[in-house]
Amino acid sequence: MDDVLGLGPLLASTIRFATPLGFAALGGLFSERSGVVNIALEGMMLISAFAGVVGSYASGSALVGLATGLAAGLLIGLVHAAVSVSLQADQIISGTAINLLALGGTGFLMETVFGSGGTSPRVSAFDPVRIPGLADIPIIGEALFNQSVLVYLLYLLVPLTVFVLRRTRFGLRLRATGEVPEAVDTAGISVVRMRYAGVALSGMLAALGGVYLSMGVALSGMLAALGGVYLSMSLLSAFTENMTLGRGFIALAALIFGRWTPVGAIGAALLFGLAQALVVTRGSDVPIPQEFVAMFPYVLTIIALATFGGRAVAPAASGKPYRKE
Amino acid sequence: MRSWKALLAATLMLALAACGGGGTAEEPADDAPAAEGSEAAPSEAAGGEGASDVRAAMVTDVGGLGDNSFNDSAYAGLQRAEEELGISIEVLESGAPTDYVNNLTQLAESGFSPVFAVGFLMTDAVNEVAPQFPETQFALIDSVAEATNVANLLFEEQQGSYLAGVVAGLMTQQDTEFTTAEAATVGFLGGQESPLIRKFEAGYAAGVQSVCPDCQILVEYAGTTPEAFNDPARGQEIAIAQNDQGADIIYHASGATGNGLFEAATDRGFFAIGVDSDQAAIVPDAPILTSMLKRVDNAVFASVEAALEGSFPAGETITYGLEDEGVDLAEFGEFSDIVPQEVVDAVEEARTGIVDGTVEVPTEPAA
Repeated sequence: MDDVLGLGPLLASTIRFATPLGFAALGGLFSERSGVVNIALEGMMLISAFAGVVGSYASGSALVGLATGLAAGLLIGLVHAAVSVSLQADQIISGTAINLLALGGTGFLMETVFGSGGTSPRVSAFDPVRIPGLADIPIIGEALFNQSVLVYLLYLLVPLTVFVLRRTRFGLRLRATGEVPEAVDTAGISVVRMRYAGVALSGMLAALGGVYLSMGVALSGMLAALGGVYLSMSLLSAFTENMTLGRGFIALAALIFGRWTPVGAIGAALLFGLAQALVVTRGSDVPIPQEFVAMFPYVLTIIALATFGGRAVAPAASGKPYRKE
Repeated sequence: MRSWKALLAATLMLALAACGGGGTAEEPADDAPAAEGSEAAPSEAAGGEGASDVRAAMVTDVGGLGDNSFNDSAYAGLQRAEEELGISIEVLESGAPTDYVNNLTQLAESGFSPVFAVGFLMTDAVNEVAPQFPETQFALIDSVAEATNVANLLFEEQQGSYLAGVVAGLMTQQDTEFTTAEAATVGFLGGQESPLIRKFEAGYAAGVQSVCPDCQILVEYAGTTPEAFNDPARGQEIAIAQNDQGADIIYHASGATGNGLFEAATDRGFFAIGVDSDQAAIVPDAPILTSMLKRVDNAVFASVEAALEGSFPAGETITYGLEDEGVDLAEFGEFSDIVPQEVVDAVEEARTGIVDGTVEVPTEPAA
């Protein structure tokens, strides 16, 4: 079957745009469901993107880069938790501080580690992995199943997150902590511990989004469709200062638009990704003003918030430090 | 007790963040001793009385040093001035547009002159700062400011881009390792949509059409804000999309966003054309056919030289073009075997035509 409409490339591009948003939105989910607003997703992504590149640069291995990126995300998550949970500081201020620290800190460390700002040297990144069979599905196969392993990880994480939140003791406790921490406390479960877990997970998921941005943007072998020869070579990637460019905030918008549910958040991330991909792949046929696409996630989120009709869908205790009576 | 701790924690975080933020505005550690050195022992090359008194400085735009592009090029010009003319130099990087005024003010207050503002994004900042320091000489690159103590340094980017277009239009009709003759499609990746970047597009499109009237030219801008110069992920997506539509040569004028083009070109095996500096030398593993050179370094060096001679072109607007090598096309380098002689000849012919005025290059793309 011929892909006359170019749906395959459009879908592939959508997924690449949506993946970092999806990881960060899931990250935001774990944090907010535990009762801690995480406006720091942006900074967590940026720091992890940088830490991943440094790890990969030092070791020559993308996997080591993934590990250092995750470690950085975990560390920043713990900082956010320490400030906003243990010390009960304003969660928005803590998050904003992390974002500022990430922007300035990575810029400064670029000088220290690589000797110059701007763009880092190129490092090993994740090659696209083609899944035989699934990738042979007409039109959508290549787009969905010839991607970076990180994309497959996201595919797995969505149902896993649904399962954890709905079916596991940890998930139920986490959600309860975000809704009625008093009840959780009364049941003898540590609210502080649950929130630390939520924010730490949040940091690591946002880290995956950051690592995907700096070293996981994999290309699929769609040249075959053009009659060319696809050369399988190691992808090379780099860190660029401030390369997240607000994607953490768009992920937050996706989380809100998706009503703080995993499937909703991923759906919103895909929708925002599709809008970006449409401009990139169809910009010349359908002139969509770029400004419109840039504001699209935020406008949708405002509309969504306005039409929730007063029904509280956000975790009830999100944003409020828990003070033991 | 609790709230006291909370306040302390929040303050600490903000303080830490502020320290981090300041980092981007710091000079690279290695030029501090160099600057001192040249002050202590003025170089012979300076040749004249008072030469060592000149302290030139520059402020980068948000692209910063390491952009492999015109900020680096301007800095190279300053470094050359330091070595050959024996002046002291300083560079301040701007992490955000809000740093422009602060950085320019700081340099002017510290007695630097001339102070180079690199990039049209700094036009407003120069308009604000320059009148406050009438004794300081400023130079604004890529834009025109109103104050009489500012030299405005412009480039005929469309002329160099025209040559890049000639190369792209001819090479896309060739069968090579990177191009297929039947495609006859080329791409342009712009950074922030703006009059400056449209000059690149206009010249490139005119160049392509002059040698390949039937060629399709795909044009895409990464955005409408300065962030569009700093988004390699987006640049990569645009390059992939254009390549999917058959473009086998893509020229970019998009700063760090172009790194995404280079990644796509490397992975998929099509040609990229670099911009501002000879990017093939900077990103050797990418198939960069050539680069449109914008010799910001020469303009900066010439301005410093003029300042030393007391003929700094304050209040004037100087335009550098093909004629005075303000813009140019880089050597084909490792691809010179692939590029046929007729392409080289066509480039020379176009160059001659532009310099003697028989070829007019538009500065705005055809509607």
